Amino acid sequence: MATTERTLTGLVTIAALAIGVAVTSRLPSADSIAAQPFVHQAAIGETVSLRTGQVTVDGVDATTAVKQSGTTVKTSAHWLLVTMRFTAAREPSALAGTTLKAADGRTYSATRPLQSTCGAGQPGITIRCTIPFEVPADALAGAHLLVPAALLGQGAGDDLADVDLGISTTRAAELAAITEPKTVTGVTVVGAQAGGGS
Amino acid sequence: MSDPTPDTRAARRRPTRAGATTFFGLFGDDLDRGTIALLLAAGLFAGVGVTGGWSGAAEAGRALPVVAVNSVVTADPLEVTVKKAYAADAIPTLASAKPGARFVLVTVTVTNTSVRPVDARTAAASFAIDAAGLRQFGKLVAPDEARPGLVRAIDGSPLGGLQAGVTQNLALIWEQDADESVPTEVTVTVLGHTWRTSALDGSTQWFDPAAKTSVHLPVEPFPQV
Repeated sequence: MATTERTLTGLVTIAALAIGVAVTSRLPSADSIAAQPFVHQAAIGETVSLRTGQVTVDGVDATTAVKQSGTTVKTSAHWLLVTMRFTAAREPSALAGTTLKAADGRTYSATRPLQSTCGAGQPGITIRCTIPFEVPADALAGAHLLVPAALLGQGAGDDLADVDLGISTTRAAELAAITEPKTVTGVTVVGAQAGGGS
Repeated sequence: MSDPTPDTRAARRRPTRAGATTFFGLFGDDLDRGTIALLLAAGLFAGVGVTGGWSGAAEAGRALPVVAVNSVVTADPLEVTVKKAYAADAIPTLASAKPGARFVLVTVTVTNTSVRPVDARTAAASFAIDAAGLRQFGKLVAPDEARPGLVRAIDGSPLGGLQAGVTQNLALIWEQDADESVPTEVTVTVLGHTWRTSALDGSTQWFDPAAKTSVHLPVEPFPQV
């Protein structure tokens, strides 16, 4: 084989490999497609049926000091208090791993020392709880609550409730102005469905 | 044992060279010396890439920058201001006295500048001090392995996590063996992390702690309340 032909073959091979790598790097992988959650959009007061149960966000409140279990936890920012109800479907399930997503894409978790989970709910029994999220004022307007069907995986390849908390700019300013301490109670049972869960 | 003569050494090399010649001879029709050199070079570059490239070597050779007290430093995902250092046998409401131990407390202001929460474990791994005799769970550990306890200054509660865009004043508390002398100065190293997916288990977390900057602080006695 002539030197020119060999060089040309090498260059064409390298170019083909580079194009192949560029194309495949821009295509979604099978794993990333499988990890996409099944998103259920909802608003305040609307019930979402997840694989593990039904969830309804009742409303939001705010404060700069949360009282819970005898302690007061303060923040230099704001505690956004999200109250929700959960009814487990067929087996005991925990409403855990909830995340707050700001309009600009930043995400917020519920962490110690405050309650970060609603605990396990029994099938057909509706529980209510309030989860505090520590957020800066600019994360309030347009915030959504993301509720995965299960803690592990955070909704990857599973149901995920995406609840618009309905916080307008005006409402965000009102929430940000609240400074009086609020008491957040533990999980309470608020009802039962006849014939079990959904 | 006497040193081998040049002839002996040459005789020893001969079988190795002959083996290599025989091995490459198997591909003689397909591979010339240039191609083999190209393959070896490609193998070398692939090996360097797999083991992390040369960037780590460049970083290792760079001296850690030292900044002044109260300077704002960026060590992803945090923005940190290191303020003061104290030593005490006990710190009211934060750390009770322990037999054989004292506490070194460093005050910092921290802001999470990323778009996601930073857990307390990563936050603790973002700080190190060079004090001798640091203890973790009652055992002596190397300074870079000693993780401080993180306490929120606003209410004395333990830090659960740093939320995006929220600034916190924190007390970092290390436990030091009381047999060591009380430090008069500590160097606080601030480490940054990288948000990436683990090649081992596929989880995405803050990995790869890397020292970004250091601050020299005088250590004062903890003020009496």
